[in-house]
Amino acid sequence: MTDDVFFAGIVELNSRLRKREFSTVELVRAFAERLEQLGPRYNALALPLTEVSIKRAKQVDDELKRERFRGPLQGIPFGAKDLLSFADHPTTWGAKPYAAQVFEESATVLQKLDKIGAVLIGKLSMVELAGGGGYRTAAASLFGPGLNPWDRNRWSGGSSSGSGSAVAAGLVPFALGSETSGSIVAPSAYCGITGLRPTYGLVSRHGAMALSWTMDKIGPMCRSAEDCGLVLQAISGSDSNDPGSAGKSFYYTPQYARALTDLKVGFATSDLGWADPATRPAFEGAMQVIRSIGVQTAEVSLPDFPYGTLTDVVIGAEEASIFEPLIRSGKLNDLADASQAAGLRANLEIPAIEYLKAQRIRSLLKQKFRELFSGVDVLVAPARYNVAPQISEPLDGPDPVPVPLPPSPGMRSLIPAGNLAGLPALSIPCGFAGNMPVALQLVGPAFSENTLLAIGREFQNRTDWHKRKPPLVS
Amino acid sequence: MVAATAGTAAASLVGLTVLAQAPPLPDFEKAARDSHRENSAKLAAFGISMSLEPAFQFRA
Repeated sequence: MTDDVFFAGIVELNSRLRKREFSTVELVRAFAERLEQLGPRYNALALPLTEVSIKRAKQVDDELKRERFRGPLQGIPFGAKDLLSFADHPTTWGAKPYAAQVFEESATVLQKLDKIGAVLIGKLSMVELAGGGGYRTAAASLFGPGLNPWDRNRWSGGSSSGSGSAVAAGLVPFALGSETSGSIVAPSAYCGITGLRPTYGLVSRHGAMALSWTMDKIGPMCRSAEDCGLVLQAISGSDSNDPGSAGKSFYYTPQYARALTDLKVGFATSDLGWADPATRPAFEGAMQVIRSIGVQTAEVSLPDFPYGTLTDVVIGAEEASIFEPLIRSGKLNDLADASQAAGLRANLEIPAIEYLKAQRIRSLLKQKFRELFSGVDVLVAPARYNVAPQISEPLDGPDPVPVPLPPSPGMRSLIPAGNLAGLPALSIPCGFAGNMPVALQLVGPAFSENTLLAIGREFQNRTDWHKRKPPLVS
Repeated sequence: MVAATAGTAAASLVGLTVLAQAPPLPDFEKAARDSHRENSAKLAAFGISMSLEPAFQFRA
């Protein structure tokens, strides 16, 4: 197999499988061996599944020979964040206290992908317990710090660290990640891949580690917006095993998307002032591309809410309840990050009245976003305002204050705001600052994934940032 | 802090040098509780009126 295969999109790989240019076994073996060989280079691999995956690939080849076609993901290898259970194999949640944990049933999303012939080749590393306690360093993981394929001295982002770096390095064609507040968008942006955080409730979380019942989402991390659409279609849908399920399915239908010229995109001029100066040319260029696709644009501002406080209180109270047995046991101190252990312990003290107040404010916040989306269809902002930090940098330091100070907060809080309101987001690579990728995020109303993907797809038709390969593996 | 001082006294000269050069770790428990206090104040400052809203249930 050559490099063009390792960095090909899902449609191309599936087409070459059906033309019998290679078999599923050959494709799966090539990716699985590559993941085993190069995954540790980025601390991306939690558990190789080479033998199991080759066995499954043989069954998929039998189906293809009998022309039993199951869609574009049939025969495509993939990886999954290690918070998703895979029956009879370890599921560590990235944390030492759970290193030997084994479940009898696979997560709904893995069952869905298996049913249509996608082949799981490995579990991918993550920040311990998805980082909810608040972590101080990139090393807050059972697997060590997630290393960025664009520069291994830099972090791959979290908490879906291995999913980000494995896709970026061509170790898997796509991966599943999860987001409570930023864990798909941030590693996708830092690693230069395309990530989709679905609307809350669109994808079942049954079999996934719970961090926050009212905020957790599972989503695809891929090479392109189109691939994200195909994977989301496969994993979405109603599930009575997830009380948060919205009871809706998603069909990727770019052909029926609204005309781009009918769409109005909201942006904040101040965002450029908040962005690290090295990233500004990329964001300016990206906004020109957005305008060139024919959308209308309008200056907007985010509703004024204490977003950081709301995410702290909601996630903090829910995770304290979820992990209470761990917190009250001596094993909490086995976590790699002392700050995270202390945060979890302190979260037991969040008063119920504050948790409920935060949730009531969330209802007001959702109402304000409905009003905002009566004027624009989509929001666009930097996915991150900087490039991936150095591995050695503490992650809990204060944000740098730009000079001159921008006149408004812009959309710096769009990640917590969008997560609190349960809104979908698409992160797309939009350039480089030095040798590091930079990305935009598109956020829309609930269940507007097809609109986000249509804009993302057109953006990627006009740019090649999503096709760039990290220097270490190209 | 007391335990750390006792540990330092018992350490070897080389160990003492390393300890003297390493920056002290922040008090994570205190930081977490300070953060809670700030969050409590911000929630208290956010006006939310008695209303006829139905019981909270989260849906996107």
